[in-house]
Amino acid sequence: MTDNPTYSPTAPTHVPTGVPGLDDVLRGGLLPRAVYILQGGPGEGKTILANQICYSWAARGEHSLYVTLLAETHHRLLRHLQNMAFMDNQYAGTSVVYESAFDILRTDGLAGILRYLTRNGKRQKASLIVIDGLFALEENAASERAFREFINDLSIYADVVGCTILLLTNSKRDSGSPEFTMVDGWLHLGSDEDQFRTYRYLQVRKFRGSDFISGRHMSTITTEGFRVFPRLEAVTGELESASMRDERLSTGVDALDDVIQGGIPYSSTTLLVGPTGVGKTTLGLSFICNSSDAEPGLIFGFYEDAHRLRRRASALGLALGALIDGGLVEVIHHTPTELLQDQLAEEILEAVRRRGVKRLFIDGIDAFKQAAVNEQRLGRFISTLTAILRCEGVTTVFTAELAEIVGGDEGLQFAAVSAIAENIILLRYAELESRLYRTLAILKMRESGFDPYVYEFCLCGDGFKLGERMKRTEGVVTGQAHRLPPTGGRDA
Amino acid sequence: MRDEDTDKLDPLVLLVEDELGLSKLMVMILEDEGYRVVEAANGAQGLLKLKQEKPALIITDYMMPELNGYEMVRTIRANHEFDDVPILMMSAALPEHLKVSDLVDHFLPKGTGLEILVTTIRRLIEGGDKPE
Repeated sequence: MTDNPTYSPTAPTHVPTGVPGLDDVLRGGLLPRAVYILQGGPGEGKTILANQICYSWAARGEHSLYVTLLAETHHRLLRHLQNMAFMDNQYAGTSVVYESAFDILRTDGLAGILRYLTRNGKRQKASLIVIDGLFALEENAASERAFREFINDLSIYADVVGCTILLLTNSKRDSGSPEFTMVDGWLHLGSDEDQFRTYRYLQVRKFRGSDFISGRHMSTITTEGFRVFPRLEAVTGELESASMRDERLSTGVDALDDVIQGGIPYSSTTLLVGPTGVGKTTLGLSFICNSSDAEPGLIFGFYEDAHRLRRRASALGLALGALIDGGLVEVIHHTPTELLQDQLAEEILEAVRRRGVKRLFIDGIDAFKQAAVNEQRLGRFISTLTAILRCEGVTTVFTAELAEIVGGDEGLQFAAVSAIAENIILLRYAELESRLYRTLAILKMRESGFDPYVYEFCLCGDGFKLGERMKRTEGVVTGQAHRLPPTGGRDA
Repeated sequence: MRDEDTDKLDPLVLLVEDELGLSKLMVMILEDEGYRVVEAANGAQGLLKLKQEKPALIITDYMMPELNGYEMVRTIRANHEFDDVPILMMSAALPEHLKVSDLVDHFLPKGTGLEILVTTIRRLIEGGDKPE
């Protein structure tokens, strides 16, 4: 006789899908002995995602069986996967076996498919079975009840045999349909159009037996395969703050440090606001050129690549080139085109963590607005990103563009950022007596006082030079600069 | 207990399981492995079928209506007529206070996996080493 068994079911352990970002959304991966529906219209990436999971399974030494119920040949299917980075031909036909059950379904119906799975799943030692074409099963079911029984049989099969089943469908049936109510999980792949751009997303509609991150998560399909970008504000959870340090980081401009009582507060967020060409990037470069072994720097920009930044810095007498060559500063450049904001955040945070970055210069926060699928989300997104950076002990300087070069009533168009920034430095042009002045004013500085006057500055061979306080002048900050009369002015 | 005629046939398994879907799948699996199967939906039916069919193995669930798997195997073992018929109990949960070790030859949690299930059944029917 056997030892006296006592048995209580334990929570199953997640099995990683190997799809970047998806395991974060699923809090670890799929669950074994479970049936999942992967639903999406044509071209949404069901086949790619399912195959990517199969090859990830294979790389871990597991076997999978990919069953097609469609007329498409496996040759065509495999040919379309050849450009995918995850596609490893050594596994095709061995660890990832493709079989067509189209004929079995046609002749023996759903019972034939169940018997086929019982035999072939065991023969292939498959711990993952993909059934591509759930709608074909619906079509061949004698009744809704027969289809419901089949889905139930599949669940029992997955449990008894110990495998995970993925059912692929482009069905748009109601969410109350038996397949959706009876399976353990439902992953929906979709896309949205915004004029010329298409945004892909993945949404977990149901996931029994485990927590998951709800809502839509932007996703991409490239030759690297399927990739999910979990919403930044949803994955962060509770942030652990870096130890507060009563420390200041130099802006790289001594006179400006004096104005703000010694420099920018440690791990704070500073917004440099101003119109195009006024000197925001130059001030940001001055800040980053104070990077050191103890304070590695990162430039994350959207307008100028590393080559152009080196040239610009060199013309201003800043040693950016040497810092880049010495590995103290890294430059990451993107053109603000088809990127997703969660994708950008992921890249920034990866670069920050990889090198322990303490000085971060993001040149062009407006690009996040362009990358935003939903602008309503932007405030929460930027708030989360800056909170994470603060917790990582990163002192961040952003630039934001003012719409109007001189004067105007528009002001800062990026309210979400200005509300979140702990420090705001406004750079403006002022036209006085037919001459353009560059001016600087501090609007906000975290937990510290600052010199409230408006200063003139210039960009010269020595870089960013802060000059004298503007005298006998008013209206610079509001963009309505004018001289006060020679007598009677406050500075007179 | 077995006569010459029954020895010539494929071994017979008595499957006592109240879940219809699971029973259907187990029948498929067992038939694919070359066994004949007779089904019972609870312990009471299982006792009746046992007397009629003379199986080579009993596979039983624990939680069932009317007479559960534990009570059924207790009755079987109390009647020494079927001492040579091995019993495999499968269940999703088994209370700690139940002492089934003296009553069944092997216990498998439901969802153990097909390979282990099939190997266990084969070993129990063919005799020899008891399953791990």
